[in-house]
Amino acid sequence: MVHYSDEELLKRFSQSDNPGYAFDLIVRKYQEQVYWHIRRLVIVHEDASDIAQDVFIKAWKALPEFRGDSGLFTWLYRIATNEALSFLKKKRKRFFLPMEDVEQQLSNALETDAWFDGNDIEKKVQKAILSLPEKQRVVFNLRYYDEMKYEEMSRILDTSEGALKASYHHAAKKIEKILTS
Amino acid sequence: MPKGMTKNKDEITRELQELGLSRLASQMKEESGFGVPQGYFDGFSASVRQKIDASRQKEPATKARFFSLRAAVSMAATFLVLIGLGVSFLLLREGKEEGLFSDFDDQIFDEYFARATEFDRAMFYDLILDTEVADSKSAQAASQAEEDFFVEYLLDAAQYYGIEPTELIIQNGNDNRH
Repeated sequence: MVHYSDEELLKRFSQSDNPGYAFDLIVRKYQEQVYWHIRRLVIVHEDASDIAQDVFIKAWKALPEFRGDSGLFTWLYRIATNEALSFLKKKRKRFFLPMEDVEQQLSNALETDAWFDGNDIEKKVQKAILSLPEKQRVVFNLRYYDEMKYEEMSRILDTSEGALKASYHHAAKKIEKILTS
Repeated sequence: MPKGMTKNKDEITRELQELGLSRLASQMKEESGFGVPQGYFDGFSASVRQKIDASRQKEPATKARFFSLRAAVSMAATFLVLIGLGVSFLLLREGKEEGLFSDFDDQIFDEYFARATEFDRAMFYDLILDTEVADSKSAQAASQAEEDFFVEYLLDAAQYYGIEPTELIIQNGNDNRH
């Protein structure tokens, strides 16, 4: 598959007779990154799959108004983060659950999910990440798994680099403590 | 498996090592353990396209029905509220004259105090003891949650006032070296 730059894809989307094809290329370019980002937050494959598809449907609807102030990648990650967090929030509200119970549910899902085949250490790491507050989980995942620079994260989460660094360090120390206990 | 941007891996590993977090640093080489059904991403864009087409076909009809349904529901709700207000006004007037509500209230209070006197003392002590045990168990978890809350609060406050929380980071770094 030919890899187009974001600018080329956006140009094709807005100027060609077939924006559907250009959008298809955008989906193919970012589907995996968007999916994995969501999956690490909501844990269950089926939920992640639904949310990831919703992210692209929202992007399709909003793309004609997309001004390109932030990069396409940043924009998609922002939608994905919001969608995943609002899914968790809805889950909590629907069943009148406190935050800890949702975390416990997600932690249990790791044990039962057919699409999680991590070893004991990987399971322990994931459970430790689930013990973090939501914001810290997002920051930790973006840095540790997506290997994102603080600068990029700052654009996605609209938070200063210093705050993200502090948040990540705090989260990482907490996880290390759980891993070594 | 996730396709990360490998260009920052060394930088992130070094950062963790500098913080003294060797377990996490060594774990960086490993996978996260999550997987997807085979060929899942091959059909992903087609699923998105299908959903977009379906939502485009549905949209006008749904909108028209939604508006008419909403109008009908609001009219029905308004009608019910008006009837409810009228009936309660009449009942209140009638009740006031005949002492309907005051008799009813007396009955409820009598029943409540009768039950309160039958309260089992043993159950009361059990409740206190259970709470104490639960408290000691959850004390550690609560202090961790408080710490998280405090850190989140500090970061939010720093963000609000436009302060870079570098001191917090330095403090964290120093704590870890001991």
